[in-house]
Amino acid sequence: MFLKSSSYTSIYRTISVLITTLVVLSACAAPVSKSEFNDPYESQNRKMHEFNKGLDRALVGPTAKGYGFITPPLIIHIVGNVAGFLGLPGQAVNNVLQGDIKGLRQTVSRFAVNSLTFGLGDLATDAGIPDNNADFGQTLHVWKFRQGVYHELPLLGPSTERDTIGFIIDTALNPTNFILPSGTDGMGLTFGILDRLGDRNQYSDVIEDTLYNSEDSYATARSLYLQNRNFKLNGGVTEDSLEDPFADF
Amino acid sequence: MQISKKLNRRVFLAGISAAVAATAMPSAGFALTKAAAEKLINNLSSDIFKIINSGKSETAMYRDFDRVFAKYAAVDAIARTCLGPPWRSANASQKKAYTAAFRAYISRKYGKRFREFIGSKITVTSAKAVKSGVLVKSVVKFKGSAPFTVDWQVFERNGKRQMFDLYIEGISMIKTEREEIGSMLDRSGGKIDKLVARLNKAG
Repeated sequence: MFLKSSSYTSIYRTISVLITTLVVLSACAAPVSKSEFNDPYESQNRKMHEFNKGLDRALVGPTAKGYGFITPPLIIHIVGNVAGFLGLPGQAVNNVLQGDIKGLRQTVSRFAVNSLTFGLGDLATDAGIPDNNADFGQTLHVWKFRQGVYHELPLLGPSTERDTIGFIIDTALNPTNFILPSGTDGMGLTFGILDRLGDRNQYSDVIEDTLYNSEDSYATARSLYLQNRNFKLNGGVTEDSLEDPFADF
Repeated sequence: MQISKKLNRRVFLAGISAAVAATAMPSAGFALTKAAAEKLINNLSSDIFKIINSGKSETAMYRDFDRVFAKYAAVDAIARTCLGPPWRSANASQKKAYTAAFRAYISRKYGKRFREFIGSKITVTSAKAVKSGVLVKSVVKFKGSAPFTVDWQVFERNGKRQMFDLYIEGISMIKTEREEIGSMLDRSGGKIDKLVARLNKAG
């Protein structure tokens, strides 16, 4: 996905293929799932989960810890800021597609304020301008596309059909992934990957608790992902999702 | 003409008083107000932060968390909800043993999570009435990083205000633990006694 600046046509071809796929996917009925989640491919997903765990144990975890060990905290922090900054143009596109004026204003303000530091600092958060993290999976939700089935992707982990398509489109849509001057193309992705390693290192306690200490790490990861995702899509905890303290079993 | 005008006015006035009564009802009818729920969460979070910043050893902190959990939360209702239908088939002593093991397990597990809040600040931002009580929203801010949301579900039972569930960035403690305890029970062959033994070792 390291796209060259000369490959506009191929990007648009990719996008049109994806949109066609999307329409086809949303038209066909998904198989019925046994669990409370829409997870009809659970057995395949579990195999992918084991693969991802192996990858984390052998490669991603150690790499992240190595990165965390040799890199001064300040640099890791700056990398996180730059990754967030480079994501803002794509985020603005999603704000527009969702018709979210308030979100767009936030994104543009963040970009303007953080430009003062060339994206190295995050003055915007300190100034109380929140990051709305709009993404294309969310845009599809706003456009009333169904969430589709749950699946676990290689390396990237938990997702849903809608979020996977969203991720691919976001990657293709983000201008910082391909239209920067030659030699620096792919910068958005590079910082994105470093940022993920930084997160893997920073949150290693929570991540390792989930992956290696929970009773059924596949089920836990699925539950955590979908709960957090629905929280983002619904803009908070909804009344319908609350448990009943008086439920009698 | 005259009669119908009078009648209309009477109907109108009756309508207004009904509307006033209806809006006044929630605060008069429900004993748990938003302000009271917010106060509970303010006290609870300040107790949690006192423990985090106390500099005590891990085990001493878990003991303190256990006390706070028992003081503010509806431990029995939480434990029962996390076990679900198997609760019904357990006998009284199993229920008691399970609830005690669950309480200690949550104190260890969430105590560990809360320790990551060191250096942050929590602020209650709003509250809204929901069908089973009040949902209190708070924001945890770390210096130089994005804030995150913690929602607290508060309800009232026998005149006592208690915390029922908490959501960290939308992730519910009860939903997550129900999944975990369900898996533990599966691995215990559906036996409550084995589940209790497992719980004592987990977290």
